[in-house]
Amino acid sequence: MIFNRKLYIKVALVIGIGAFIAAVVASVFFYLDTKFRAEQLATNQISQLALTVESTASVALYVQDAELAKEIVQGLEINDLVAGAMLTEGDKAWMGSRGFDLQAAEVIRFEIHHPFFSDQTLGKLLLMPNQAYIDERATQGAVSQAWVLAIQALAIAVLVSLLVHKTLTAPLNFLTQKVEQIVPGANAMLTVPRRHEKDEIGCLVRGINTLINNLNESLEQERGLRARTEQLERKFRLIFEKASAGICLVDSNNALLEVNEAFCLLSGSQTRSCRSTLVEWFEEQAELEEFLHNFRSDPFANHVEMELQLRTVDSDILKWVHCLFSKVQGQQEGEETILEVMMYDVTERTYRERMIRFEAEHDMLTHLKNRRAGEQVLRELMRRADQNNAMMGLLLIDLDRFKPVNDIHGHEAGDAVLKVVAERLGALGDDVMVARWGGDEFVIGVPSVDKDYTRLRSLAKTALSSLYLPIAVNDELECEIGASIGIAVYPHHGSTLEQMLESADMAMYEVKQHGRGNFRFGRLSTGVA
Amino acid sequence: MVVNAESSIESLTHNELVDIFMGRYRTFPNGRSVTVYENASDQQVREAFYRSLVNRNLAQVNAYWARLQFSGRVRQPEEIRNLESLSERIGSTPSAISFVRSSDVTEKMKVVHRFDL
Repeated sequence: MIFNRKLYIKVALVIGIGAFIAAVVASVFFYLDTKFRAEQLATNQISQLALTVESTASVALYVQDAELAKEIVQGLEINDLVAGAMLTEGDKAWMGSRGFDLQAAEVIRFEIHHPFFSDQTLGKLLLMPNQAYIDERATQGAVSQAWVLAIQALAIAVLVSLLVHKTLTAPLNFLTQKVEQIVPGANAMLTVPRRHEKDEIGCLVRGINTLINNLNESLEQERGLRARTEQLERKFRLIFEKASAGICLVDSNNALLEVNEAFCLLSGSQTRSCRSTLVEWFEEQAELEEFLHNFRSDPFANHVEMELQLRTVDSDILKWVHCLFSKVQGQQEGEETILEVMMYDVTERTYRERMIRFEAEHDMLTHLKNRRAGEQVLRELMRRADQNNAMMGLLLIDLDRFKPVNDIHGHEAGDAVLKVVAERLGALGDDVMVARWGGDEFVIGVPSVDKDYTRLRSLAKTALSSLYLPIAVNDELECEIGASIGIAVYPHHGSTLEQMLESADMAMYEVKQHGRGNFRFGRLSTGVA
Repeated sequence: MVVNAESSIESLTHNELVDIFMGRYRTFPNGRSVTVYENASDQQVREAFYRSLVNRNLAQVNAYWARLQFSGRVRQPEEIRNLESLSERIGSTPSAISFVRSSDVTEKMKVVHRFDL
């Protein structure tokens, strides 16, 4: 629509419509007013006519001169304003003109007085106004007035639109084009159009120039700032991307927001898409999820360190990672708190530590627990038996005919025999503890013991029979050994580990003295030691 | 105001006189025809008479008659220029009526109304 694009046409249209409405209203008003005045004028003129003929009518009525009366009423009818006239004698119709209609609604009455005694009334003169003529006269006046008003409205609209176009729209168009050509940052100033130096247009141009200046300045500042920010961002990104530690940002649903290269390397993933939440990457999923939930809801916890097992992408190798969980508070109020997780691969260290611990607690030849660790386990079993008001037992096993193997075939053969013995004892049960007590001595800790010692007996029998089987040292050598077993039951054969061991040792010694290859229980500790 | 001495009319009211003199009726109230004579012998008495009768001067009265003249239905009364012939006419016309000064009344006339000047 052209009307919406051109201001001056819009203004002209609005003014034109306004003027038209005003003209219509004014015309209606003038029409009604003119009509009213015309009617009043007509009434006045008719009254004057009546006055003019009154004395003659009076005479005619007085002497009943019909000729004269006819002259009068017909003479009145000639007048444009009068459609018909009639003289009455008293109230009785007497002489009417041709155009007079007895049923006419609009009739003006004038009393006709006695020619000599003005206090007497002889009759009436009835006049019918020519309504059509009067209306036509009024309408003509109103229509010509309306035309004048319409032409005036049109002229005003055209003039105003020209004026608006010349003084406002054209300079504004010019300015708009200029403003559209402005390139931010380029110092192009607008020039004030001629003859507008002191008016609003000039003011606008100066305002725009100030705005451009300010814009350019802030643009400069913004550029500098942005450059600095970019530099900083690059540095930080570098730190994040090239950090040796794997870094993840995690939202409140444990979803991974960002991961760095080190994390990808650590986990073996190219992208984070394969597992979208943090907990999926770890072996202890449920526990980690619960921990993260608690960590988030604890307002005092900000950093937590722990070691977790990370499941890598390929073949699900587990890696030990040291994780540092930190809360990163949102800058704005109500922004969600995200977690930053930094991880270091500590797999090697962990394995080394485990190895050291294993070495400290185990016999390196048989990989069974060593004496020190075995003692610890036995004490723990005793403590637990106390706690549950139950019994526990230990089997002290001493190999028979082992010394000759060592002496004849050498230590390597002895070591091989010991390894096989350890394997066979290890197969006795998952709930029992097997330790190498030193040399060719082994101890088995049994956590639960029935009151008839049935379990201990069967364990001892199984151990003995398994140890009687020949042992293949290498392709050529096979050895046959056996064992003697002393059994002590806590608390029947001793209240301390030392008493228990002593009791078992004595029982085992007795077995040795009575032909080896058997087992025997210790003596009850009530007697003399 | 005088009529034929033998007339049956004894007296006339002012209104009846106006109707007769100004041409409205051509009969007496009793139905007998009337013949009006204008006393033109004396302008003064004429003047005084019309002044008393309809409160108009002679010019106005003449204008009144002029209005009626063109239709011809009503005639202005016949003018008699001297008193003797007026007296003769009244005496010879039973339906006659006219006006004279009271000092000019003869035996041929009968007074039916009197204006005091």
